[in-house]
Amino acid sequence: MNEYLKGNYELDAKIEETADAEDSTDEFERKALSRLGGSICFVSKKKLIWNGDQADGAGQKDR
Amino acid sequence: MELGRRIARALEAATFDRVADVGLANAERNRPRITRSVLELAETPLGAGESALVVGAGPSLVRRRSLERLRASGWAGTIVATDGALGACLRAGVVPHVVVSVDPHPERIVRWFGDPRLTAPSTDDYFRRQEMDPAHRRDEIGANRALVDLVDAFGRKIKVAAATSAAPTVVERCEQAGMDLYWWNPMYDDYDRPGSISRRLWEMNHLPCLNGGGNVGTAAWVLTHAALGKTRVGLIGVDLGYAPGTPYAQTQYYPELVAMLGDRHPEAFVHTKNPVTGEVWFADPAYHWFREVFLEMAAEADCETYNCTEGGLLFGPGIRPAPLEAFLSTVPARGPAADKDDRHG
Repeated sequence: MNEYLKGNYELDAKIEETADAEDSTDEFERKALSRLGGSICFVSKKKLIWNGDQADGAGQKDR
Repeated sequence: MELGRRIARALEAATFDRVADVGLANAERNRPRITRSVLELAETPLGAGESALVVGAGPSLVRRRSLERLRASGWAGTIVATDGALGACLRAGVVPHVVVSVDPHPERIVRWFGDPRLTAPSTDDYFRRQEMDPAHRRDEIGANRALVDLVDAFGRKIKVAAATSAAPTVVERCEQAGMDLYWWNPMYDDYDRPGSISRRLWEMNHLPCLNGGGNVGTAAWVLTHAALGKTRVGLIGVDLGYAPGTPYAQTQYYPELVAMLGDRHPEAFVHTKNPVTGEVWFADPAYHWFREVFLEMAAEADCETYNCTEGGLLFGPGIRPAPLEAFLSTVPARGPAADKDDRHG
């Protein structure tokens, strides 16, 4: 983008590009989305019940 | 892709953000009260046979009079209710064998068990606004008072499958009503990954971790076959959607959707025709995600799943639609003596 936005003047102040704006937008979206989430997690492609590595409650494989 | 479906795709991570911190804090606070694993529930007296009925709090419960029909049938199988459906069950004269509770919300969920401390309408309009239990919408205080009495009267006959994430207020209320608690952990993340929260939790309390599928109805279905070992599981009131004609303002996530999307909030609702009834039901992004997840889990589950809701949005591979009476007829009815002993009304 910078190569298209060249001016014919110099600024005294040095403007540093940061990721803050994007980060804060992401953060806002994530917070907003979290209010729409469920009451319990879902973990994709894992067993429906897991009781430690040795004692396997349902004997299922990971999905 | 529709806005609602797009939002739904982000809800797996969003749900973790919503519940992980408070769920883990509750697990720590509940720790001194944990004496039994949910796996011990399968060894306790439940209903007859290998069939169980999971009762959710969806609108079909009232529309189809599912509980009244269940009560009239004298069905002898195991009944597993979600916390949100407990009041409807007891009012209909159905005392479930097990109630499942998972939501870590500090104030709301205790109301499903009757909150003895509630003396004036709450500033939180959740129960007046939402569609899950119409009794609370009509008369918040009166419905709560009646539920306190019912849970106090029948609590000793009901076992609670409590997630360690459950709010301590719920745990205290259940204990006060004489309910026996059996515990499990919600699965928060992949237990095979380094630093897994699920694994850390298991190492702390050695309780089984259940993959909850986003909501208490799906968690109750998982528990019924994966922990109780039931091989034929029927569903009533598990609609994962809103009935035709429900105002958007009466849906569960309405304030959040308006805050997030403003005037575009109607675009977040996904409308789908039920192939059995021909009705067009609709889902918000959360319910749409719950449905997608349920179908993914059903494809791998070690049970036959019969959808007896006669409505809603839960249909697809792994789900067998069935009229309620057809499912109930597979288990012999209870004798009159047992009925008098265990049910009321």
